[in-house]
Amino acid sequence: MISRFLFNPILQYPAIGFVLLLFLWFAYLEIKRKQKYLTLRIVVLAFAMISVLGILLRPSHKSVKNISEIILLTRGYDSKKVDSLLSRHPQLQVLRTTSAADFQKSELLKNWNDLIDKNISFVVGEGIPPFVLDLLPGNHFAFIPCTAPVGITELVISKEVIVHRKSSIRGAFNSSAATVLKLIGPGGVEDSVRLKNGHHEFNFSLNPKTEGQFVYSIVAQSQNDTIVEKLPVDILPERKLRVLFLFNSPTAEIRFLKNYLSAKNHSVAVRFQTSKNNFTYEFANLIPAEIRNLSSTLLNTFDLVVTDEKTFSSFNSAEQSILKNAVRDGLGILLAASDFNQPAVKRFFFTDPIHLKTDTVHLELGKKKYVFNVGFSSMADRPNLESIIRIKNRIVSGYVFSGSGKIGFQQLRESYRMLLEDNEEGYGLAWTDLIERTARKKTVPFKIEIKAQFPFYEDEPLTVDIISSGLQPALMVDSYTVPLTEHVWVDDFYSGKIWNGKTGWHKLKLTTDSLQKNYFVFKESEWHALRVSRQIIENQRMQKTEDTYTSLLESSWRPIPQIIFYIVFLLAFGCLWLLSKING
Amino acid sequence: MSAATIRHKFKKLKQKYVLLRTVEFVFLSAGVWILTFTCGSWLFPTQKMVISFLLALMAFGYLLVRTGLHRLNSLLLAYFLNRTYPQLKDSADLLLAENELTRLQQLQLEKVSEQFSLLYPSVKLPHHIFRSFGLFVFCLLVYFISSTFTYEIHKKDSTANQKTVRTLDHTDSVFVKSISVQITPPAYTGLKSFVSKTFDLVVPEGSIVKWFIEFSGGVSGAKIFFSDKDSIPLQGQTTQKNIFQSGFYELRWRDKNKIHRSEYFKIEVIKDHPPQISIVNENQFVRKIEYKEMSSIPLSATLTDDYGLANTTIVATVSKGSGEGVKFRDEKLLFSSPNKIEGKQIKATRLLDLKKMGLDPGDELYFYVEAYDNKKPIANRSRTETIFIAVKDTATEIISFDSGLGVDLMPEYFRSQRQIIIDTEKLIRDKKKISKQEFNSTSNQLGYDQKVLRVRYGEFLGMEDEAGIGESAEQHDENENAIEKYSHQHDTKNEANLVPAQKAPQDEKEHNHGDNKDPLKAFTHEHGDAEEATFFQQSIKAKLKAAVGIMWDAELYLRIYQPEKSLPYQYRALRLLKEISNDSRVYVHRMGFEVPPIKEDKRLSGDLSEIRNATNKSKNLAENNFSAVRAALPIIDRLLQKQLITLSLSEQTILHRAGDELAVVAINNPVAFLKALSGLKSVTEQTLDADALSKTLELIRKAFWKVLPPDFPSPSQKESARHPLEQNFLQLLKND
Repeated sequence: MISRFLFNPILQYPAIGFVLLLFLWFAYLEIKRKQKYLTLRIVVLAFAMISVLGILLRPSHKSVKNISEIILLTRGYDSKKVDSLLSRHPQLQVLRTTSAADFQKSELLKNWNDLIDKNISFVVGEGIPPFVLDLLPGNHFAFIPCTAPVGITELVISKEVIVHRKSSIRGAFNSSAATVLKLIGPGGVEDSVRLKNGHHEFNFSLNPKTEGQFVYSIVAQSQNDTIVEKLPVDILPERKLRVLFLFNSPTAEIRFLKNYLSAKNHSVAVRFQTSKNNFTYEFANLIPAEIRNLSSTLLNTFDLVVTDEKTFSSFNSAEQSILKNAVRDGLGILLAASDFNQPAVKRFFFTDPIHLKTDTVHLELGKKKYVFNVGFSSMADRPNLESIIRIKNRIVSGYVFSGSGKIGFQQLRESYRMLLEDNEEGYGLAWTDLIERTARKKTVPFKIEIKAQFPFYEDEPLTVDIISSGLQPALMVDSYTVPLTEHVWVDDFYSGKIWNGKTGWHKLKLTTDSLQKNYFVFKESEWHALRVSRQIIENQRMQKTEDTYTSLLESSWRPIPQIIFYIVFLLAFGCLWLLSKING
Repeated sequence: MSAATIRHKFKKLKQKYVLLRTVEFVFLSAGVWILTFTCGSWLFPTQKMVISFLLALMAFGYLLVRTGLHRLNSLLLAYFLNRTYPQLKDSADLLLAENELTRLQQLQLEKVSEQFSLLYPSVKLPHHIFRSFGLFVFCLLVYFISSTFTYEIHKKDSTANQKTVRTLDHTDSVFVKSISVQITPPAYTGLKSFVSKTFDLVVPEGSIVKWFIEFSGGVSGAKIFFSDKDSIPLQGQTTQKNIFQSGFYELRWRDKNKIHRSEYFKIEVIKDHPPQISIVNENQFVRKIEYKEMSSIPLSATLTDDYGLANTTIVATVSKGSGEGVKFRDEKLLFSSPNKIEGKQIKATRLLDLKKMGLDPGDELYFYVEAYDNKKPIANRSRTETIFIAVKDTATEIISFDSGLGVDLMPEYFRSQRQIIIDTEKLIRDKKKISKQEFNSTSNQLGYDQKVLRVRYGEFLGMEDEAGIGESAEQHDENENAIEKYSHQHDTKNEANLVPAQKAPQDEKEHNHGDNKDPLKAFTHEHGDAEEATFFQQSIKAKLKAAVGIMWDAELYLRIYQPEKSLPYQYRALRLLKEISNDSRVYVHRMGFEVPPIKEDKRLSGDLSEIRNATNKSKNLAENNFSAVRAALPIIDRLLQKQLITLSLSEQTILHRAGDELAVVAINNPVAFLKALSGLKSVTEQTLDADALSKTLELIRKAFWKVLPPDFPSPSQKESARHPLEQNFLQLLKND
């Protein structure tokens, strides 16, 4: 019996003893009165004491409810399939969302929160939105999806779109007719592709000319229809590097590289050694500084050091050590046209012997083909090596990790002839990626990541994660502050949830830093096919494994209303008073 | 009921009546107001409010006067009650009597009072409130229905005549009533003046463009501004300008409110092109003719010009002679037909009589046609490619066909040692391929060549021309001059004075220099002594002697058909000859460059104390990269998304600057960017219609994007936030 009741006492259990004593005392007084209806009076007194106990102990009783199975109809459901399900499971209760078509004897689900205590057995149609699935963590159901929608069903955009850099937009398109897909940007059509009917992948590339937030369009034209989807692109500016060239003697290759970087507004400092104690310095886009002697302070002000084997070997041990420590601390070092013959280089950079080969490589850079003599070509078996230009197992350029920094190498010789042939694009392809990935990364105090997948819709939640380097972040979206919670187990990892406001561009900004991230909010009707296809995938993850569907018994503790005990108390003592009056 | 009570009730009745009627009049007047306002939207839109209000007031006043409401008193009310309620037996006025009443009147008064008190709660006063309210509602309906038509009409007005200068919303601003443009092309073009139907002008180069502009009121500072920064003020209602360059223009004027600007209108100049000439029957630029065939060459040319030709000539140059004695003679010839060069297209012809022009065999004639058009002040000129006519020379042919001598007097080439070596090696390689007879013959021939070479070098040593083994049948004496003339001889006569002349060859007998002990011996050249008969110094002489001797051996083996044994001797001879040629070189002072004197005390000392480190500083002065256009692009994109023009002051400034940058580009290409410029102006002045907003913004965005130059990627620094865990991990790696 007690297992059917749960108590939430105001006073601790010893109060029961007190009430019992009170009952015994009042019972004694009643007996002492020597009046009629003694039994009745004792019973009434007992009821009164029980009511007092009820008030003090606040009991709840267990109620078991039989929750009926639900079939939830969402937009795009196939009514024939629903009829078939209902004929097999007539006990199912039919619920439909506001966007679903009407169905006989179905109840309207006005709010997603109403699903929380429901026993969902089947979901038919487009499915439940992912943010609602988060509210139903243990709920598994059978999902019968609708037919694949016509439109873009997958989309992957480059993580960072940087100005003057080719970025790609990959995706998949589903159509019932041949379709022409176009990517339309601010300057007109950027790229286009013809697709046959069915489900096909596509790949667009865009090469933005300036930074800023722009809304591109993807237009799908077929015989039957024209679909236009907005594609917001936040184009980031190029962040300039500070590069230090250290060479014993100038070469054409280095001169051209230096000029190329300085023409792109990077800060470049060059030191050529003309004799034992004499140097020639050049500073481009940089205030001249003392770079005669290497020091950790000096190297911390640069992002990349470009040098070669001979120059490195000519450094004394102190300088080599400073350089090594700087690389460990994050500096990037790039060895240009190195054979790795010098023992100092081998000792400094690599701990095991290197197999050397000489060969020629045929490369197509910037739509022109070149044959380069490559002095060193085999490092393919290194685990910490990342290749940038690679031909089969021969790595022409790449880098290895060393602490926080990287050591890069470029084996192409005389790549400057591409510039002489006016092939700046090819020259950029040969060097840009290598320099960028080898150079020191700019350390920022925070990093903002939006967990939800593109696209983001109005009136839907958006979870934001912030990785901090130790500082306390304060996040604002547009002009509103967002409360953040730190992860329970992982320090300096924060999360916050925001509700998307009106459509358009919004800005996530950290008030403690200049860091910001822009995102775009769409109307619910936009990117329908993409949304539905992703929603279907998410719903399919909630699929039930077993085939049987049984109704659930829901048990819950319901508190007995306190008013009952008060009424009983009043009635009981009223009865006692009445009996005493009757008796005179 | 007392008299005071009765009077009070009458007063109340009167007030109620006045109220009812006033409300009725208000509804009616309001209806009049609304109706007049509605009609005024079409007829007199600017004064509709005032007129309708006045009319409504007048209507109210009229109704007031007509119903006599202002004259209403209790007596009139009593009369009304008498008419309306017979129970009062026409005695309601007794209720208001103030004088003393007769007994009968008093009796009647009592009865009437009683009736009145019964009737009073149900007295219905005359009014037409509901009707007037209904009329008011009807008028409101009419207004609402007509307001939509009014809006449509306004919209149509705004879309008509888009290219006209905009009128302003302000009722008192001055606008352009009419504008017309008259274009007068230059007289030489022969075109008549015309009036342009549009403000976008397409005019011949140099035309005078005259604008006639009429304003609705008085203006000041009316000017036309052109894209080349030029501006012309209006003189009264007109102004004019000579147009030579394409571009665009706008009209600006000022009234008492502000400065107004029109849209941008383009000017496209039709350039006067130079004449085009094509020579009809001359389809190759170089022609060689025989002297026998030399006669007159017909020349026919077709000349065309867009406005007219003025003159055309044939510029001919005759070249006579060859080598250093060549002479040139220029002539300018006219076409024989037509007589006068005029018109836009002519076909000109002329016969070029080569004999008359004095051409002889070996001479050449170069000519081209040039033409001038009638452009003033400086005519356009064009010319054709130069055509060459060469008369073949007969001299060389006569020699080659002369059969007077039995032998071919074509001289032998003087073959060098290297050539002999090459031929010998070839002979050795081909030994197996050729017959023995041929092999021997070739070897013998090579031997002869070696001999000739040996003899030639022997001459330098003062040796006589000796007959060697396998002497050739050629007559060397006769060939000697030919060899000198046609062979490639190296320093045989010391033409370049490379070697100080010491001795003369023996065969020059006219010089007589006397005794060897002569102090001038060192400075004279000896002819008598064979040993001294050389141009060279003694070491060179010995080498040359050795070389000649080796050549004997080489010749020997060649003569006996053993070229492989001859080769080593040939190599040795070649080596010696090279040494001789190097030895005989004289180095002279270089002209025109004064080398700074070398400081011998510092030379090779290794002292670098005065050498300083060189520091070069540079800054990339990037070309104008359209910074304002780049800043304006996101603004335009934002407006496009919002479909609304809301600009802050800074954004307006950015758009103005972007417009300036775009205007610079638009000068060279007005067709591509003029519409965008006009659109941008509308955006910054916020005078854009709602339905044209999207298209205009897209046009501006496209134009801005087009203007930006493309660039190739350069490295960009990546960013990363380093979590403390990551920092600890890296620190551990570092410690390891």
